[in-house]
Amino acid sequence: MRQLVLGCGNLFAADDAIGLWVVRYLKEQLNPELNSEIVLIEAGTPGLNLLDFWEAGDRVILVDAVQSGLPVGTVQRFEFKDLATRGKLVGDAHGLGILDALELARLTGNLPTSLMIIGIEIVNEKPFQVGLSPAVEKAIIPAAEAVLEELKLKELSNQQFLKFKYA
Amino acid sequence: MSERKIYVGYVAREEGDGALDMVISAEGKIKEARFKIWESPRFFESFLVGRKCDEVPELVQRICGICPHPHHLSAVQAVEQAMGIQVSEQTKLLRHLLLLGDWIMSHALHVFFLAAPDYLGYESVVGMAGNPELLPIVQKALQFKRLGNDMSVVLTGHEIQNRTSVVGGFTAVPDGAALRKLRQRLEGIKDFALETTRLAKTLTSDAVYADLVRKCEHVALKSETEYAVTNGRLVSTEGLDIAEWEYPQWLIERHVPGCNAKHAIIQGRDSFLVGPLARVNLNFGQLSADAQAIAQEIGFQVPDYNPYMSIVARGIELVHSVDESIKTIDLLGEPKYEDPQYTIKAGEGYAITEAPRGICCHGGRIDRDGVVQKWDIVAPTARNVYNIEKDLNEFVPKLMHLSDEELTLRCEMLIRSYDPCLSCSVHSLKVNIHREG
Repeated sequence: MRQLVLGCGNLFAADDAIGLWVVRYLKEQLNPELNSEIVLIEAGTPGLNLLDFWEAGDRVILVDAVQSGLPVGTVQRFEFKDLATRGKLVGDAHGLGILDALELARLTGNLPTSLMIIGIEIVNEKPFQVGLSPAVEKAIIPAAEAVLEELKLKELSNQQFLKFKYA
Repeated sequence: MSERKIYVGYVAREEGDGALDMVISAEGKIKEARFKIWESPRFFESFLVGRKCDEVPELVQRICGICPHPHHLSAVQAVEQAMGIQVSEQTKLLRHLLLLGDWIMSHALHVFFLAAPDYLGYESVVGMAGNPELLPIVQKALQFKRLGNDMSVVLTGHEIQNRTSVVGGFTAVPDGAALRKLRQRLEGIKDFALETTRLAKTLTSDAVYADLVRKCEHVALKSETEYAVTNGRLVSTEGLDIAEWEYPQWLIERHVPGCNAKHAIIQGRDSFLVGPLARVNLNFGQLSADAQAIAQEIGFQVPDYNPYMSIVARGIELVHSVDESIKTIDLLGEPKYEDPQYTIKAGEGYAITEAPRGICCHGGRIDRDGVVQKWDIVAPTARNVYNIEKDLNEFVPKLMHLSDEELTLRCEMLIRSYDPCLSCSVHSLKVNIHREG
């Protein structure tokens, strides 16, 4: 089964880019030759095109910034199916937000086999800023580890799958 | 009756940031209607100066995620014109197909995701998908939009920023098998394109829209050989007929206080409209047979000066785009790689392509080392902003009986009917109606 890791966020909006940084980190760590069934994607801000990344049988892990009031840098995991369905939605501009796109996927029967969301609590999403707040930067490795656990790579030998150990 | 102020602070479901302020007097006259755009300017024209000319098409496709290919190809063709470069028939066909894919993607997005929720009374397409009757349409619409994106992937290796089209041609060409797969999918979606046009007609058939007609000048490219997409002469419903490189002398831009987009007029005349409605009005006879037939079936007659009918024009163009794409793929057969070669020369060139929302103009001056000395970019929405204001001035007095909420919605719908792309033209949407009394 193909496993997709989608890092979402805007590289030019400070902490919002955390999903991208986690995927970039994983790209450095994972040995692609041994993991042909694992696909790491810097998805950016795909809007509606989010639905085009996966196929029906895929397992998807989505990494994105969240703002839920928890301490900055907190890594949370939840299954999309456990989220409450959304009420009123207004699509902004030509794009829809990630949750709007996922809601549309649910309604149109385009969800993958499983959809896990790894959310990292952020503090700053100012536009035209590149770089993470210190507390968010510290969350890159824990978030990447959460992804590896979801990929079930932790149960296997780290050495088999990782090119080198991370700090 | 008291003064009414209608204020739409942020107009959703369009690209970029803008607002509309209107003040209506106690007598029901519009004292002010101002479409303000505050999306910040991005200074593309300035930072292109001093870049090598072959970088320009690469850079300008980043202006917009909805119409990257029109910006790119206008710039490519302007550079080619400046340096006297001729391209092959195959290159012309590939470019034609690339823009048709862009039309399919953008029109499907607009009709189903931006406009339909207004007419059907939903906040967004997500709400539509929650209705079991509309769900199959939303599913099909997603497939339609996907097909437009995939045409770009097959032709350029990427959905948005193309990796193969350059000055002089293409650095890689798609293989025939991939094109034939697209052809199959195009054939499969054809019936839905026809259905889309019928749906667009149904949505706009409410009597409230029938009165909202304002005769203004419609401008589009016109070609002798086809429904113009990548090039042609620039013509209008008021007799404009010029070569595309003459546009800077005829389409004039003026700065207006409070608006980051310039107001466009035709030399010696007034505001004008660009986009699907203008194209259908000016080039109806060159639409595919089925596109003409569906227009007749739903009773669409040209010229139509009702901006709300733009959604119907998009439906008609979707049918045409599907037919024309199939025809173009057949003509392409098995594309062969051709080395894009050219010699750098000093020169000046201007070119126009038809973006989904209207003419997209690029051009400038290049020195003998191939370095850009000056570059001009005018996105289609920049052409339409002033015309939108004029429409509002004309239509709002006819809609005074509506509640502020209803009136605001009609104004927003009018603005959205132009499918404005404010980040391209540098402007936005937010309606303020102020009624004095």
